[in-house]
Amino acid sequence: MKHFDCPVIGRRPSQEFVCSGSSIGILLMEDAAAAREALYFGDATARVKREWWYHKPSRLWFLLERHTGTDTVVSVELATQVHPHDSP
Amino acid sequence: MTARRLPPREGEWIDRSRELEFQFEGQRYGAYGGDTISSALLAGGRRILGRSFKYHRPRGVLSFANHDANVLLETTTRINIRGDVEPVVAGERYRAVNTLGGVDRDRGNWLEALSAFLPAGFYYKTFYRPAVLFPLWERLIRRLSGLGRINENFPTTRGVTRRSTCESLVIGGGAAGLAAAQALAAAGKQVVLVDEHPHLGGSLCGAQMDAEPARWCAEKIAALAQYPNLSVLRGAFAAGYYADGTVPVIRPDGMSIVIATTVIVATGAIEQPAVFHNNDLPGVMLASAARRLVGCYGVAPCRDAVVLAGNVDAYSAALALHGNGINIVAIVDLEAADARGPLAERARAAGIRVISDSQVAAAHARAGELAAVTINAAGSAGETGGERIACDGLLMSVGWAPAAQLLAQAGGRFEFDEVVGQLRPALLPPGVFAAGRVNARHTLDDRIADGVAAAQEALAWLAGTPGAVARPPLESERRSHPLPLVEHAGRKNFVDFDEDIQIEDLRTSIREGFDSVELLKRYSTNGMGPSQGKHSNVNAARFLAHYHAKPLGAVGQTTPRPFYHPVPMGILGGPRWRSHCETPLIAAHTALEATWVEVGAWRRPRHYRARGVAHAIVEEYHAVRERCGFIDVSTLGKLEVFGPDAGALLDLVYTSRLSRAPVGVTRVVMALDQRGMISDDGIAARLGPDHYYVTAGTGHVVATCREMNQIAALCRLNVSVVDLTRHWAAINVAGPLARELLQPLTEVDLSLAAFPFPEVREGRVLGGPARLLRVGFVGEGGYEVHVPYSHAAPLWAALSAAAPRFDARPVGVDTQRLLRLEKGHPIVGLDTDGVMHPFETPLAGLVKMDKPRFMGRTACEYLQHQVTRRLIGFTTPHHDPAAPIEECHLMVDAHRIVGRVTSVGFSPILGYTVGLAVVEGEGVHATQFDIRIGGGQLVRAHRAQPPFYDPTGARLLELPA
Amino acid sequence: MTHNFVSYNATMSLRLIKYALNRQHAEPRFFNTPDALRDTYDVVIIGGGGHGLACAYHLAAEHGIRRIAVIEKAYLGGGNTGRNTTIVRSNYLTPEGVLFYQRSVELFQQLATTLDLNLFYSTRGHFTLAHSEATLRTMRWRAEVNQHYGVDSELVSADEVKKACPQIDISCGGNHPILGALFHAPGAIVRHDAVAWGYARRASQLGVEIFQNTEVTGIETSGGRVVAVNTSRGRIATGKVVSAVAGSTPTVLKMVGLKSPVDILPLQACVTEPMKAWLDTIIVSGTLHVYVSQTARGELVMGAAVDPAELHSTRSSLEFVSSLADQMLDLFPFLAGVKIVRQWAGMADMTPDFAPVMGLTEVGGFYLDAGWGTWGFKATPVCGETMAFTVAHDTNHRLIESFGMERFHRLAMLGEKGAAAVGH
Repeated sequence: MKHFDCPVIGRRPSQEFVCSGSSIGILLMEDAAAAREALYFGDATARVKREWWYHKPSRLWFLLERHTGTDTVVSVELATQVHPHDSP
Repeated sequence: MTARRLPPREGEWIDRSRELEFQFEGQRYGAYGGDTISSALLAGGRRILGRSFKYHRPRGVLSFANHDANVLLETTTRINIRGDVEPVVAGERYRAVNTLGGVDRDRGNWLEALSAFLPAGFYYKTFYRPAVLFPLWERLIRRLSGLGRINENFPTTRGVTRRSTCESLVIGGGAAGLAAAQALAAAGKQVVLVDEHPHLGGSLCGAQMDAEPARWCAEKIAALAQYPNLSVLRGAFAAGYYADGTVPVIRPDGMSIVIATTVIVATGAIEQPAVFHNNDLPGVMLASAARRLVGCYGVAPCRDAVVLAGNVDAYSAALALHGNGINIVAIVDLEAADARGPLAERARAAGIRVISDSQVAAAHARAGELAAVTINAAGSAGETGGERIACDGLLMSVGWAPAAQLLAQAGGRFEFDEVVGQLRPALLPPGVFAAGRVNARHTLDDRIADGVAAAQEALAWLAGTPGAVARPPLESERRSHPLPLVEHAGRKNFVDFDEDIQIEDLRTSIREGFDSVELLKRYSTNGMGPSQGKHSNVNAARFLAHYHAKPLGAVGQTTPRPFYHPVPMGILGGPRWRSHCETPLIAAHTALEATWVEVGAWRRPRHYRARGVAHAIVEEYHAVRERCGFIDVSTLGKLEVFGPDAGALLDLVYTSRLSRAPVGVTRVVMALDQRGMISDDGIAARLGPDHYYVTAGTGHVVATCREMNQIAALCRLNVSVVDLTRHWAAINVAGPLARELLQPLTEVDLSLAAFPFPEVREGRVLGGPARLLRVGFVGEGGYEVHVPYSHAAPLWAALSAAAPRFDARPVGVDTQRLLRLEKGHPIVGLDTDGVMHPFETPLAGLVKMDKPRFMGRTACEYLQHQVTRRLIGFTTPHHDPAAPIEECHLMVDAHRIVGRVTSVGFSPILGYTVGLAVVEGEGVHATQFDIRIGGGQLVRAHRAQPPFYDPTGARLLELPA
Repeated sequence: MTHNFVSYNATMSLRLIKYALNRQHAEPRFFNTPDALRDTYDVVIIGGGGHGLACAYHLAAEHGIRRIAVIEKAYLGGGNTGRNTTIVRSNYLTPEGVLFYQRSVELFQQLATTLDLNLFYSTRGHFTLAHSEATLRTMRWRAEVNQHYGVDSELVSADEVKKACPQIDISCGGNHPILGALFHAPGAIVRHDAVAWGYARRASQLGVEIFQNTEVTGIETSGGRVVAVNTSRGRIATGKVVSAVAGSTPTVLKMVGLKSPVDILPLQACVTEPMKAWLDTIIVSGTLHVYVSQTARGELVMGAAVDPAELHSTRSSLEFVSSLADQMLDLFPFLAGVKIVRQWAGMADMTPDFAPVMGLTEVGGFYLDAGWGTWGFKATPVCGETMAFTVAHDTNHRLIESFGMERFHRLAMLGEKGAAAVGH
């Protein structure tokens, strides 16, 4: 069972979360052509990715840096602490 | 009890004070408490305990450790019971699985006569010509295959699921595991120790004939009892290793999911059989099986045994067993006995004949059981020049396979150690440690020292200063014979007992190109059976290496997937729990004889008083259109959005501009996903400058709430979103007399002038807080009354009490859908599908492209010019309850599909059928369509612009007629 | 029974009888293992699974192209070909999907003869259960589209489900009872590994060279066209490359500079111990996330939905197998004591619209066979046929015209996802 060490809520099993990937960032993208391409195309190779994970019981969003090949979590931060310009 | 039962011995696992009785294949047997089914049957003098999967050959105990599937039993409630390890249940009636007429007279053994026609992969090469006959063959094959016979009346026994965490989980309670557990416990760590046997001690238990290990073991077990921070799970096995130190520990009554910071795998090694002619006869078994039977169960599985030796462990076994109820006739050593050191001397001194550099070439049967063996020079082919030795037991000790399944699942990498002759962990993931035989340490002292060292490594890891600790040096002695296989042309010699796989099957497979471990497994099915290759994978790999003349390390190994032992579904599934939501009005609906429809986790009344669907709907329909109806809409998603950025958030989530909506009004809203597809709709009511109340689809509200929070976080908005869906209820009161019905129940002024469409008011209803929304979904003036959950039932009761005066009535979902259909309102998820964008629907007007940002805007920029299909309205005079138009009937033009009906219903007021449909291709511009209904009949329909009813909205706005 | 068996010896393969009489005689190898790569091939197929091997076979058998190398980084059929739950069906929702899979089923039905190998193709009938009005409605949609194209597919009542599978608990333990089902009579199961082996054997016989344990490390392009493939065993000059690598699709796309429209999600499955035959049909429940059939050996093979987050790994999860067992017991409560022996996973290459991405790409000579999500195995023969055509003619086969990657540049999705998203 995968676990994430989160700020505020501590270590929680991954089943308590919903992963939404990083597509929400498109909402703030300035370059229209790039945004359009990002709707369907990306780098789907195994690597460290910055993803949005929602913790269902607490209704908090977290930003994870996770390696999609090994499932290793590099970092976890509470999403509300992120400035929009830092977002993926 | 019987001739096979030995005198009591200290430390044995059976309780001779408790006598049980059970039946096997109709015969009565006695057992002691603690006996396994196999130990009791052996004690009772029975040696044929099962029949093999393919050839129905008689089989007995092989590993006595759940490493083979020779003894599989069934009862009236269970199948595939592992007789070697499952305790006897008093009074139970067992029988062997997969026999035709019983284990002693299995009529399935004719299959053996055909075995020459059944080489590996034979079924790929036959039965398919002519193709029409394959189903007949398949029926025969299906009848012959399979093990136990299930019965649909078997009980549904679900296990309990426990969850726990610990600092260190030690798997395996043998020498290494006991030593490690004690070291960790002594250091004050929270430790869980798991062992699959009913008693700790591992292989030491079967060694009770040896005084020294037994004493060490007893002392250790006593010492462990002192630690309150150590818990021991006996009779429980670690079924697999999953992410982040998660190990499900399976017990007879359920599953303990242990989440461990460090894991020490001390799972030992699995003794491997030798392969020779008739090596599957009952009486041929692993030496470790005999040791455990004698030492732990007080059962002598044979009287006169030959020991086949491929390592020094064979001598230990022979010495331990000799004179302990078993007469060791001879030790047949595959190699030079003199090289075995002092144990060989001791064996000779004990009067055991030691035959050096020889092999057991064949076993011989009498009445289906072992009666003699033929031995000859090691390495000879077949039985040439053999000496026959009478014996009823052949105890094999030729090699070991590390029980490294969990280590592999954890991501461990292995190397083949040529000295010890086994795989050994070379690289383990952080926090995972191996100790003992699985780590290629075989002597007692080394296993203990290895366990302590592994514990020290775990302690260092827990302290945050990971580092390797010196382990005892690797074994200097080979414990596994490199090729304990004797080939005979055309004779039965089993590599995989589960699957009846022989050397010849492996050779055939390799020759045909299946020459890697993975392909060999899949083609020959070696290792695919219930014991998952525990006793066969290594021998198959050894043969493959031999065939290619490569070292064993070069051929690799197959990937060991979970589970270590199979796990019952009832235990994996655990207790049954299903999410279920109820509106506060369920009791009221039930009293009104509602017919239900499930909507996600909820259920809603379709209609009331089931005097026929059509009748109920007509009554309910007319009530709303002519007088008043009230509908439980509590399942609506309900979101409270407040804070200075509430408007800004909703502007991003929805396509319309809600920040400019005046306080006190409602707006229909639509949400898109990033790709511009319609995901949700609802009503947003502005309650204050910084405060909105938004409804959402029943099935989508969780996602909508989630997305609102995400966008708020992304854009750093100062806003809070609270999901009130299960906290508030709602009743839609609609119809020309709605005001009259509702006004006496509320202090809110419902007059048209004070509260017109589409506004919202907060106030009190029946003295409690309420929000009233003027909504137009069903096309009549009305009020959606939202109240706290507990206030809904009194409100419903009050409405019901007042209803007779207005001939008002409760209305169900079916009527609600018809009413909205007349208004042409699409329902998201019903009239739209997951890949529909707003420009294909009448909802396009809700998209405000002048907003710089909102979910889906990027896509809309492009999609607004990409309309290839449309959601349109249609009407038709067709109205035939015997041949109805149904949702999802297709519109066809010649041989092309041009559309699909998404909603359809007969409008009582209009007197014809109305509907919505998604049209595509030529259908986009067509004005009339042929709908293909049941039976292929075509029904003509005409395009029509919704709303079909009250197109000007006069009734909603309560304009004078 | 014995008599039947013996009397059919006559029709049993002569090869086998010969083998039985003289055990020294072995069958020829199924597939070749050439020692070294040649410098150049007409076509290089990346991926020695069912799709790649089928493509090689069709190229060699129907298009006369013989200088073909199939490059497999591990062993034949070791990817999703050997990890799926072996179901074959054609009851899709979109016209494109129905026509494509209909052809696949046709090819499957003759495949044992084509490949001269018994694939244990077993027509069982396929029930997709409906536990809600909304699902029932979607089933009608599928049934109507299927029937329009001549696919045998119909909406049936709960009683009919019970009749075909008397062991099923229609009440589903009390929640979400079965209301009906989509019944697809041609639904079948087939021995998955054998499909790959059979194609490999036929392709080998036609001169295709198969390289196992050989990894592609890069693809060279020049002027927007493929010119060579680099592998762990050397460089191959070639003008045509087919990528049929499922879970490795993003990696291979990156080698030719293309972004990926597919995401990689694990798809897990598990199998029970064998038991006597009792389940004659294939049962699927989207609501309970369960699909199950019984193999000829007597095991129940079970699967569920893809895992919820991207992961390029074939690790198993406890959550999957415990939730699957839990839901299975709603359908078949008497299985509580039946044991699951093994679980495993594959890497599913999911597209946004649940339809494949196939055919020509922006890179000349680079042909894609991807986007197989949870439905790749059942497409194996038709992929072989259509990809081979596409490669040979450098023109998309008509059955895959709408599966091109460019649809995502138009922000257009095929409707296969439509039904999945139609909710409550």
